[in-house]
Amino acid sequence: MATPYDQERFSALVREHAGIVRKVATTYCRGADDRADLAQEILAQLWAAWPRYDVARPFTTWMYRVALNVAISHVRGVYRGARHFVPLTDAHHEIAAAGHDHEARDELEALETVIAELGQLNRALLLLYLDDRSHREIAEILGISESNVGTKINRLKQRIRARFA
Amino acid sequence: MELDDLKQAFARLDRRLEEQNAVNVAQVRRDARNRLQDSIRPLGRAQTWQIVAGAATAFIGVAVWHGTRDTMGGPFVSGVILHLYGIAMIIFGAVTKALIGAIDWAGPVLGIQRRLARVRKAQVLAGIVIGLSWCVLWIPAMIALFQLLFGIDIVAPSPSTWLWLSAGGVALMGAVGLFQYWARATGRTAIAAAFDSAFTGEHLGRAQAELDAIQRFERD
Repeated sequence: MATPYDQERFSALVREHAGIVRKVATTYCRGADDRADLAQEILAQLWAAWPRYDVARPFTTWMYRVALNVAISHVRGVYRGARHFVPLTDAHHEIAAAGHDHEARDELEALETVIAELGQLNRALLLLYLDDRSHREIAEILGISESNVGTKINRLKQRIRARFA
Repeated sequence: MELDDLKQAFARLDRRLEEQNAVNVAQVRRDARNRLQDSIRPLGRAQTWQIVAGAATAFIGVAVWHGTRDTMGGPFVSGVILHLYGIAMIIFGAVTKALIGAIDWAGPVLGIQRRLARVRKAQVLAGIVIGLSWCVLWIPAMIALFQLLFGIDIVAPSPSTWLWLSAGGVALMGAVGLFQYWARATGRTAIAAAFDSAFTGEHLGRAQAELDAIQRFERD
């Protein structure tokens, strides 16, 4: 287990894997303020859970579990009653304004559409897949079998193919 | 469009956000305690208030039945009812609080979310039971309060007082129904929706929907 006051190690690991927090916040929250708020909440919970972290297990799996659990709970609390995810319009416009090509904008719009149409758990699956996590790691993070992960990803692929056909 | 095409868009979006806001780890350590207490466990806060209210109710109940145990009349029975009700509130609150406190956020997502959804459902159910029981409970509460504050047994002069109090309860519920009808008839949808939420268990439906979504994800 990690020592309770091993602050420097915690800081270094979180900095190294800060992308996980950012990606989870991006996937679950609209608007820069909401994303920043969720990111802070995730980091606070990571810090609180740090003394119980088992150093024998992969840090990224532990970090993803905490981040996704907090994000899903955050969204259920903050957006209780809201049925649909609102696209990341500000981020989209920023990237569009930065001069990216038409194809890139189409892909970003498609990504936003897919995220908006998925439930909280499928959104977690999508995020982990897009972040190139292995089936084994996805299974460990979500708490389902590896074969189930494969099945669900295939369904996700079919769904997206049909949606943008 | 294929799923793998979205990987590029996801990476591009992340790069842009990375440039905009670096994660401030130092600030998190400073704010961690307040944030956890203020935002991550709203369920736990509700239970704290429930335990406090339960303790106050039980205290009133004990004070009344202890002071009237020689007569064993209406105030004594009312005191006992309030005492038991207060204890039930404390137990519900403490058990839920313990369940929330025991949650390990680093557990597998599906398991933790299922556990949270069950706790939420139990909390909503307990809230409905505790809330709706006041349709009847206000009668012993009135008797106990009159006894405690003024030393008056409002039931003793006439046993039919129970009947009048019950009739008052029915009249109160009728008034609530009329108010709800008025809110609908005059287009005051916010008030009408609040009544629906309170009496038809809308929150319970949401809690169950969360559990159903988890089961669907596991099954499909």
